[in-house]
Amino acid sequence: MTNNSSQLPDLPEHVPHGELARELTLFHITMMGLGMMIGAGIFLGMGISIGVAGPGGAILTFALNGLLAMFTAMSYAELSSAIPRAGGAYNFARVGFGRGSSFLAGWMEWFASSVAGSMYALTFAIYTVRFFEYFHLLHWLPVSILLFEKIVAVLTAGLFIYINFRGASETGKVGALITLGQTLFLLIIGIVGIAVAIKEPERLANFKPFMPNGWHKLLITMGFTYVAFEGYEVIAQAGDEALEPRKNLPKAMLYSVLIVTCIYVLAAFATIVSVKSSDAILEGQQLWIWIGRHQQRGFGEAVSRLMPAGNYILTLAVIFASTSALNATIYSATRASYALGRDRMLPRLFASIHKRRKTPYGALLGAAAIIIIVITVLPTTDVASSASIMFLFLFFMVNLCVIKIRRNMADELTYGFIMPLFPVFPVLAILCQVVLAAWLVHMSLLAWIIAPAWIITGLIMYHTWSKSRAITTADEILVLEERKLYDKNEIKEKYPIMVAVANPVNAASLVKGTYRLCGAKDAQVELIHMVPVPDQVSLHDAEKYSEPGKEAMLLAMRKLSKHFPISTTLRYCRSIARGIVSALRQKRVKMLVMGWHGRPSTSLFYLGATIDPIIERAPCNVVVLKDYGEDKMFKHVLVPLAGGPNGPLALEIAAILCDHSAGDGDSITVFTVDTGRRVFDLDTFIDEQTRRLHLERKRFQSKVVKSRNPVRAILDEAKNHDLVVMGTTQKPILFQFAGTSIPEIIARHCEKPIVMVKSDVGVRSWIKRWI
Amino acid sequence: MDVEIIIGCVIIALALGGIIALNLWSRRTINRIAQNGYRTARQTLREMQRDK
Repeated sequence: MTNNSSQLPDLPEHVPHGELARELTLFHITMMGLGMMIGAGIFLGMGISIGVAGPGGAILTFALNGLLAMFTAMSYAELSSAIPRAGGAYNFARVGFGRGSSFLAGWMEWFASSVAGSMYALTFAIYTVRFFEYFHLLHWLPVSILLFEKIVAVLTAGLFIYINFRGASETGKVGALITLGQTLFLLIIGIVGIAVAIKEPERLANFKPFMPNGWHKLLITMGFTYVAFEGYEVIAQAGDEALEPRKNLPKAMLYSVLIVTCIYVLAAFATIVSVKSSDAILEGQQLWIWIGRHQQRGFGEAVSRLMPAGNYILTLAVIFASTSALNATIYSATRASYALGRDRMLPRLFASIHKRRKTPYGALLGAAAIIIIVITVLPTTDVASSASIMFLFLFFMVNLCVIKIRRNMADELTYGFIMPLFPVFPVLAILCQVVLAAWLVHMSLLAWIIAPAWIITGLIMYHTWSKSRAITTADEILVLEERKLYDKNEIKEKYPIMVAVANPVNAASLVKGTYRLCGAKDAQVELIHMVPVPDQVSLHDAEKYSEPGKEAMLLAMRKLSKHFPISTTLRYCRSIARGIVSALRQKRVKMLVMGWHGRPSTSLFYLGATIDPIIERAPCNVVVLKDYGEDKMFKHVLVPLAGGPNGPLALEIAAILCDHSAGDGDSITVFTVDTGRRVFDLDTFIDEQTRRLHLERKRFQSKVVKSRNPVRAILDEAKNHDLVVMGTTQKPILFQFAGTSIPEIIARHCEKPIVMVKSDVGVRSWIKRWI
Repeated sequence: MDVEIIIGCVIIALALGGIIALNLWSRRTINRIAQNGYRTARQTLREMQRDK
């Protein structure tokens, strides 16, 4: 996500070619989601599911798939509430992972939605033609039925592309009406099924055997019908056109999953009780076998016996379902390519908005081209499987995005929804999607050729065209200037320490501490300054705000460059904390040194809006200095400990920073408070650490004080010392927002200079934070 | 009654119950965030902890 600014591309401020009309209500977007879910998939998949998993397995399939869909829907809901813009997964990947990944996400989304659209257009054509054939109305046709189906599919796709061109409102209203019709139809089937089962309870015998082919068949049917739950993608695309998007987008996603799961479970139940086990039509077979034998037509055959004229009504329902899904997929494909065009990753034509209609006509043309080509040329079933694979990749990426974005940008984005038990749901969703994607390998070999081929084409497109043209978004990190003041070959084995300087005063106060730390560690120094640019200022003007930082770095360089190899970096990021953490990772720094003015900016933070996130996320040791003046001497250092993981680093830093000379009376007091609970064994700890760090044992002394108020006891003890060195809080990240933290309270109230340290213990630290 | 049917019914009930519970919880959270004007994730989590 880091971008060198030597050739700054055009910025978002100059891009818009108009805006999309914001007129979709919660009802419209919920119906759009439902429309994409209740496509042809459920009508075709019901019979197959009952045949493969049995009567109980079919209901379990839809209930469990609903729960799984809910996990990914939660991720979509959280992200679209925080980033409510057309583009859906593309935008999430752009914010979470940067340009390359986001291009791939948009590229896959564009293709997957377009191909799904062509599949729905064909389904519509097939059922419509059969409907007319049933009444012998097509004998006059001069062309074959197959060709006629393709012509009808192209015409249908054309009609819905035109409806999408008419505007979001028309798209939403037309889609909502069709979806409402098919949803009510399925609901009626479910209600009739329950009524029939109450009236004739002997039909419940159809549930025996419940799982005739074993529980493992559930995985197959779940994978097969998962496509019938993926409507939240189209809702995410409506970010630019929905009213109150932060509130309505997450609600629509969650409601649509709830509604669709209940309806599917009811419809599955009704299918299984549709025929009595004694009915002559079964010819002695069990119902689930009879339905299974009818495959895709199984649902229709069963429902036609449940209610009068069921077969005709079902045919109409499939026609409605495929058109609403077609409408939703065209909308989704268009917004994905529009977002790519808007950020100049595709030609500008894709971002063109019609002046009167306020619709992205360029992106519509692109989606129309893919849909029509697929309808007329390619084998739809295999291409549709590749679309499923890409949808799974997309969902996988979105679940990763929600974790990364909450972790890195929790203080930057405005959230309209926060999921509970984070990150349990996205992790569960990722695991399930891996299993389902693996299963699809066995379903279609061609799908696993088409999907990688499209992805490789996208990668070539990105590297040859999009990469150099993509605009810089406000979320990115810009490197404004980088300098190295040493020969790279000289410092192969040096310990990398980064020093974050904000202004000349802050830089002066950091020099002494940095000098001691670098000397003890035999370090190379990387000075970093994050340029603070107000939100309303263009990124082009970032350099204008860099003068205090440059001055601060010059001051630090003058004092440190005689002793240590120095490099400097001047960067810009809307969030200083994110910019520094990104630089720490990129430069593989082992220790970060920074200053603290001594008061948090708001009550939300312990130490401050910049320091808290850095302490939480820095992949290295962190040393924060407060009141560490250049002219101060630190002969007596206090190290309060309670047995946490920062103890060893606190002890080491105290030994480095304590002004120690031969025969001098310096001392380091390792201190703990006995509150009546378990007391930390200080002497054993000091023995172990002095041995490990090769320090003189006699410089350290232990002290235990009995008190019920550890904060008061430590503050009282600090009065007898020149400097306090202590670890930051180590509470798990989920609970860091609650209650208070003793080290940070002490840091705020202590009148003596303070050094706060946070030790990086690698994977152990990461796992502990998440658990 | 068949053990498989009992287990199946329990799983279906748990799955549907889970979806409904998550919907209710989420709806309440969305409305609370909108009403109180919470902005960042940190602020929202902190205020929600405080409410408890």
